[in-house]
This record gives sequence, structure tokens and C-alpha cells, in this order.
Amino acid sequence: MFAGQASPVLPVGRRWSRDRLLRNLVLGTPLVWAVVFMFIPYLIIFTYSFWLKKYPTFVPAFQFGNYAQLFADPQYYQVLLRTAKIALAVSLSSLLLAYPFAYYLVFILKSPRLRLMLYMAVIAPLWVSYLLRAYIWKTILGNEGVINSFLVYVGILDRPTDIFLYNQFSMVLTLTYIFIPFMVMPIYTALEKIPRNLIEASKDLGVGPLGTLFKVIVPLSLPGIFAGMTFAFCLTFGDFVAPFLVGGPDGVMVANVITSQYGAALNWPLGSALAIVMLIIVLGIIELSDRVERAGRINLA
Amino acid sequence: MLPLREGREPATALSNSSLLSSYQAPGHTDMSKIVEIDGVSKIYGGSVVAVDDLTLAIKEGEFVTLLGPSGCGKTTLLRMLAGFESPDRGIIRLAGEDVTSRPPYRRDVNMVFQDYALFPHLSVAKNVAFGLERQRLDRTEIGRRVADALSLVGLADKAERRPHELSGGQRQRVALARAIVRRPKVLLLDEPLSALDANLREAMQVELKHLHEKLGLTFVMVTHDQTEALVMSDRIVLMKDGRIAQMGEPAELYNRPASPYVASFIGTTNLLPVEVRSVADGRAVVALGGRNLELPAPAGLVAGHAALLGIRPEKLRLETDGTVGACQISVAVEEGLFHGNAVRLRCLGEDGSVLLVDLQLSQSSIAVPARGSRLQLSCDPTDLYLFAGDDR
Amino acid sequence: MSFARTSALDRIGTGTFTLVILCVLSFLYVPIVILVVFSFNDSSSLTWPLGGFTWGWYEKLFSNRDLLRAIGNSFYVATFATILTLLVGVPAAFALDRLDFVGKRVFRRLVLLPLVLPGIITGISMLNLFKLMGIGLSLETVVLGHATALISIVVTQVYARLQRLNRRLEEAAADLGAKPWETMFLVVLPNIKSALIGSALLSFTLSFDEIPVTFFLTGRDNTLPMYIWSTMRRGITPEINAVGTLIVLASLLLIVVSVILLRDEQER
Repeated sequence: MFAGQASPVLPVGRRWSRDRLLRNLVLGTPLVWAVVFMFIPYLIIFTYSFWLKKYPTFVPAFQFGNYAQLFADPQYYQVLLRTAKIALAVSLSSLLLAYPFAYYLVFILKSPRLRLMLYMAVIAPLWVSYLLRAYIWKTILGNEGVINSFLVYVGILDRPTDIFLYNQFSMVLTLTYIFIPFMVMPIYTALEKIPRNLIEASKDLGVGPLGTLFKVIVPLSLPGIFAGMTFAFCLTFGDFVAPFLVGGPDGVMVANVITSQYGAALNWPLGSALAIVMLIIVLGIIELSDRVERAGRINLA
Repeated sequence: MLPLREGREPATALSNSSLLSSYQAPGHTDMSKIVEIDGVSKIYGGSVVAVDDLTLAIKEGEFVTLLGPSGCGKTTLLRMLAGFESPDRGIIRLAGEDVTSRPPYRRDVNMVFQDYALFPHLSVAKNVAFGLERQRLDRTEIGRRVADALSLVGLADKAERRPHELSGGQRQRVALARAIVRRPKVLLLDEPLSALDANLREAMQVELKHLHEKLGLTFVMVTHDQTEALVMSDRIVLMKDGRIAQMGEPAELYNRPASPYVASFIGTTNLLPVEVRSVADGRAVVALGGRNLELPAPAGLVAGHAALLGIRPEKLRLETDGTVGACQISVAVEEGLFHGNAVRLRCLGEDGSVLLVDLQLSQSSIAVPARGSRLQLSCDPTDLYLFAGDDR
Repeated sequence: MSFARTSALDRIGTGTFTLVILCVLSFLYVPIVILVVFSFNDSSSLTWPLGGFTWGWYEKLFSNRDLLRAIGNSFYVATFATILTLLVGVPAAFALDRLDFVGKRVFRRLVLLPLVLPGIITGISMLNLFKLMGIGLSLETVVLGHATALISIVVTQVYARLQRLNRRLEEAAADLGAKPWETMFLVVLPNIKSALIGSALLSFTLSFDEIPVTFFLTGRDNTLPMYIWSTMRRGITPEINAVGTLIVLASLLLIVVSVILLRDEQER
């Protein structure tokens, strides 16, 4: 009955529905994924963080006891502080190594080929197993490791020492080693963007090399520095591998505690609360660096 | 065929191709309407009116140029013809069929993009073949038509190159070949020459015009370059704020501009404020240089009010023999710019208004007037046009 | 005089810089050399001085069934995780680039979060989900976990490429009669090929190497890094060095492959 009426609009209608199907597919797949595998799981952790532990399991509740415990019990807040301290140390030491390196590549090296090769040389370790990179330091720093045995062999030490491994030093060293590429990449990009004529202009105006460095180049590369610091800090803050491999009792980090709460201690609510705290800290750092970077960009403009 | 050197010898590039015969549409002389734009409006973001209730019909085989400054809606109109934008109001018909809500891939029009938009991952031949492959033509037919189209634009020897290996002018030709190979009902050209340098652009203007004549296709071109529009088009549609300011043959727009906007957008025009003394029977009397002039009156002219009098710089003559012409203006030379074959004088009238005067040096025995010298100019009343209002 | 001073300063400066560069490079590469050297060392401890040369650790490695099974599992996980990240990440990048929808900002944040989010959080949050839904842990849950953690890699790379892609190309394709899916497969995807290959290779590598998510989401099956992890927590042996050397070799190969595959794009 309505066929005659419907047929002229049919092609248009069909195109619309097919377009909508395509659009729904493009948007729907990742949206459903993000909701099911990210949003809901985070929500679950968040919910658990208010639950109550009742050995051998835990019961639904709404109370802040888990959070209170995290900030009252030195065992926990000291771990948070230590993790932050190590993360900061790692960010700073990788900055100290990465900045001169990136500066050299961008401003001093003349050959573009060599520049690309050296850049690749710094980035390449990212492709080599992360676990392996942590493992190597265990074999180098250990009591029966390469350094110890070498020092004994040469005669500097009588017997192997434990001072190299299982402490905060070994943690910072290993994590710096692992995260340096993340620091070089954004700094290199930021330095590359600085117009050469700005540096010429600074020299023209009689500003010395150090003055040019600290008054022109460093401020202009701040977005890169912040990006690199954010990466290094956040990645270290949540690192899982290094504390287990090279961190001793002195190098226990948040990840260790979360793991033990989810494992042996069977206190998921407390583990969840700690995970939420970690999440908030990481998100806070990202937001902060985002804002600083945006402010920097406005200044440049 | 010899490979064509960039932009030169356009005639060779367009000679005896087998494509040409197939393009000679039987209805070439039949001036039926191939494009009808009927009351079309396009509004962006709920408030920005890009095209405003525009109605326009294009005849088959015509070369129509949509001309105007940026933001006048010409590009939006072209994109609605192509199907990239859909009108908020109005109907677009192509060969009598309503295509208003048809997607671009189901319209029989093809476009030459401003930046050419060649597929960088495909060879020149594959770029040109792309549209034919979508029509599911058989391979030998595609191969033949691609070869024809490429030799038509003089790029037969570049078939296997990638777009990034070509010069700007060559890419332009590939874009052209890709668009015409499908023998569309209408060929759309979006500022096709704007990316080329000045010399090449001039050569391509002629070449495109020849191509249009040989193919007998309908061309709709968008440009902001009035010279380009004047040289190439059968008809110019000059737009302003989403509406048509005036349309007609190039000479018509140049010689009989409908408003100060048209007069100053196409070519250069002196616009002098004058007082209207009287209006009667379609004639108006205005005062110029202390003398009364009687001219055809445009609609809306009111006695006692101010109006604008337009005159092209090249229509002003030097009064050398002391005879008194129909209209006279006395001016003082402020600056003379030497153009080789002509000199453009920037003069000040007695009332302080600026007047540009072009003098052809080849025909004139007089020297370039010195700065500060006083000149007596005259002109023909038929070269004057009167405007009731100022729409610039 | 002042000339002499600046050039002397310059020379000192350049010298210092060269030293720093050498230090950084040796900091990065000496440990890898040590790893490789000890994999051929004829001694069961990793101590100085070096013993003789041996293939023994490699022979041992290739007869270790647990290890070989772990390698197989890792290939399985990395392959399917990569396929999933592409299937979800590419549409996500398109949605972020092309579509306007409610909650786009939140969606962007959520999808990109795992770039900086510690893997342990992805691990325990998905563990909670699976426990709640009564889904047993297996290699498949690991695949889902890896895909979730690595989608951000695909999204950032593909999104960046889409932003640089000339939209006129798609209009040109439609103008020449290509239907939307033809435009997608014949024009858009070929032009973002480098980002697709690059992010797929990176996802594969990172998945192959992943520990924290795997740690919480795997059942009885071990992936290669989990196997190494459990071995090295028991004690270090040169056999791990041998595996490590092979991994370094494979990584080098992957880098070379990606450079070759992506060179085509850079020439343009």
C-alpha cells in the first residue's frame, strides 16, 4: 500500500542507514571497549576501595577506612613517599643525561645522517625487552655480578660487596637506564622546533653561549622537558618490574604493596585504595604538566 | 606526440586525440539547462550565511565562472554542486534530475581541486584510472581512455610516475585528466590555477579555454581572480555575500556594471560622488565639474541625493586641442606610474577626489605629464555609468 | 684575544659534550654487550674473569620445553593482542578525528590513559572485572588485557597521521565515484599505511614483552617474559642471557624491518 510512496526515497534512506551503520561501527566498537574494559574496571576498583576486609574475604561497605589506613600507617605512606622520591630522582637523572645528548644532536652535530643514527641509537633500546633491561643490571650489580667479580679480580675488593644491588641507588640507576629514551624523544622534538634564527639573534645581541642556553633554549624547550619528566615520573611511579628485580627491602614501591595486597595479604580493598591513590597521583601529574605546557605555548605565541 | 613542455604550445597538447570526437556531445548546440540551482541556501553553524537563496541556471557546454572575494560563497556553491555540502534550502538539478541529496559518488560531475588532491600512493595512470575503475569498466576500455586522457593533457610519457615526482603544472594536468576521463556532465574547477606561478597560469588559462572548446563539456570554475574570469569564461557570475551581484558575459560585466561593487571588482573604476539634480523619464541630470550631464538613470535614483558616477581609467582622454567635450574634468597630476605601453596617472580632482587615468603611450605623442601639472580630461557620456547606491 | 678565548672555550665545550655523548651511549649499550658476552661464557655464574666460549646455553635453551612453550604463548598473545588493538584503535582514532559526539573529551582521556597509566592498574582492574564476571584466567584474558593497555599506542599514531592526511583526497575519491568503503580501503588506509604498520609493530613488541598486566591476568600458561621473570626470581643463569641475546637480535631485526617498511613514506 505504501510501496509506491516509499520507493522514491528508498535510495536516500538506505544510504543514510548504511552511513549510520558505518558511523556506529566506527564509534561503537572503541566506545564499548573503553566502557567494558576500562571504565567499568576502574569503577570496580573504586568501589572496592570503600569495601571492608573480613578475613578470609571482603564485604561491601562504604567507609574510608582503607584510605585512612594508607595515610595513617607509616608502612604505607612511607612507601608512597619513597616511590615519589625515586620517581623524581629517576626523572632528574634521566633529564641530566638526556638534555645534553639531545642538545648535542640538534645544535652541535652537523651531519644529519649521524644525527639520525645517534637518535635511533638512543631510541632503539625501547624495542629491546623491558624485562631484559632490568635483568641486565641485576647481573651487573649483584653480589656475584660483573662489577663485584671484576673488582675482586683486579684486587680493589677482598670480597664481593652488597652495596650495589637491592637499594634505592640500584632502583634509580636501572629505571634511569630504562626510561632515558622517553626523555630524549620529547626534548629532541622540542629543541628541533626552536628556530635557529632566534639563537642567532640572541648571539647577535651579545648574549653569551651560557646566557643563550638558559635564557633562550631552555625556556623554549620546557614543553619537551615537562613531557619527558611526566613520562619518566609516571612510568617509574607505577613500575612493577624493577622493584622486584633490583629493589631490596629499601626499594619497596607502591606496585609491590598493591601486588602483595592482591596476593598474599588478600586485602583487595586496601590494594584497590592504593591503586586509586596511584591513579589520582598519576592523573594529577599529567594534568599539571598539560597545564604548564599549555601556558608555555601561550607565552610562545 | 611530443612531450609537452610546461605550459607552452597549448595547441599541440590538445590536438587530434581520439577522445575529442567522443566528447563532441550531440547536444552541443542545444542550449538546454544542464545545471539548475533553485533557491539554494547554505547556513553554517546556524548563523553564517554562506549562500543566500541563490538561483542560477547553467547551459550545456557553457564555461561559467563563479567570481568573488573570499567568503562570498562561491566555493560553497561549487561544493554543493559536487555533493560535498548539502544545501539547507533549495534544489539542485543536474540534467533535469534532482540531485540535492545525492552523495558525491552518485553524481555525474567531476572536480579539479585547488591543491589537485592527487592520490599520492598511486601512479599517474592509476590516478586517472581511479574513476573509471569505480564504474566497473573493462580493463582494455580503461587503459584506452586513460591513455587518451593523458595524451590529451600531454602527459602520455609520465603515466608511471608518482604525483610527487611531477612539477606543479604537471600535477595540474593529471588532476584535469582524472576529472575529464569520466566524461562528466559538468566539470567543476576550484581555483584550478591558483597554485601555479604567474607565467604558467597565463599559459594554462588559454589551454583550459581551448580544452573547453574542444571537449564541449560544461565547465564551472571558481576563482577570485577577475582577469582569469574575464579571459576564460563564457559567462561570469559575480557573487557577494552569498548572492549574485551580477551575471553575464565578461564584456557585459566590464562595460555595464550593475553596481559600484561590480565596477570596482572587475577591472578598475573611478567612482566619483555626484549630486543628482533631477530625475525624469529614465534620464537623470547630475553635476560634474560644474557642468550638468544628462545620463540614463538607474532605478532608485532620487533627485537631490548623492550618487556615484563610474568611469574606467582608460576611458578618460587628455583634452589637447582645447575643444570642449561633452563632459570635462580638470585635475592635478599627483603621481605617474609607468607601465611600459601605458602610464597610469593618479590625479586629484578639484573637489579633492582621486581619479585614476590610463594613457596609452604608443598612440599618444605627448610625454608623461609631470607631477603637479594641471590636466583637462574629457570623456564620452556613454562611457559613464550612474549608480544610485554604494554596495561596496 | 677574545677570539682565542672563545675558540678554546668552544673546544672545551665540544670536548665535554662528546664525552657526555659517549657516556650516555656506553651507559645504554655496554650492559647489552655484557648480556651478549655472558651468553657465550663457559661458566654457570656471571662473574669475571670470562671462561671459554660455548654454545652450551643456547643448546640448553632449545631443549627447554617450558621455555619453547612460553615463546609460543607469547607469539599467540602478541599476535591476537595486536589484531585487537588495530580493530579497536583504528576506529577510535577515526572517531576522534572525524566525529563529534557527546563525551568525546572523556573518551579521548580514557582511551589514551594507558599510555602513562601504570600497567599494574590495568592488570588489577581487569582482574576484578573477570573475577566478577566469573571468567577464568587464561591466555585469552591476557590478550584482552594487552589490547586494552596498547590501544592507546595505535590511537596516538593513527590519529596523528589522520590529522596530517589531506581531507581533499577523500573528497576526490567520492567525486570519482568511490563509495565510502571504497574510499576507506583504496585511499585512506593506503595513505596511513606507515602509521598502521608502525603501531602494529610497536604493539606486537610491547605485548610480547609485557609483564604487569600478564602477571595478574594469566592462568596457568606462561608467556616468555613471565617465564623469564619466574626463572630469574629463583636465581640468574646464563641461559637467560642466551634468551636475552636472541630477543635483542629479534628486536634489531624488527627495527630494521620497520625502517625499511616506513622508508617509502619518508621519501615523499
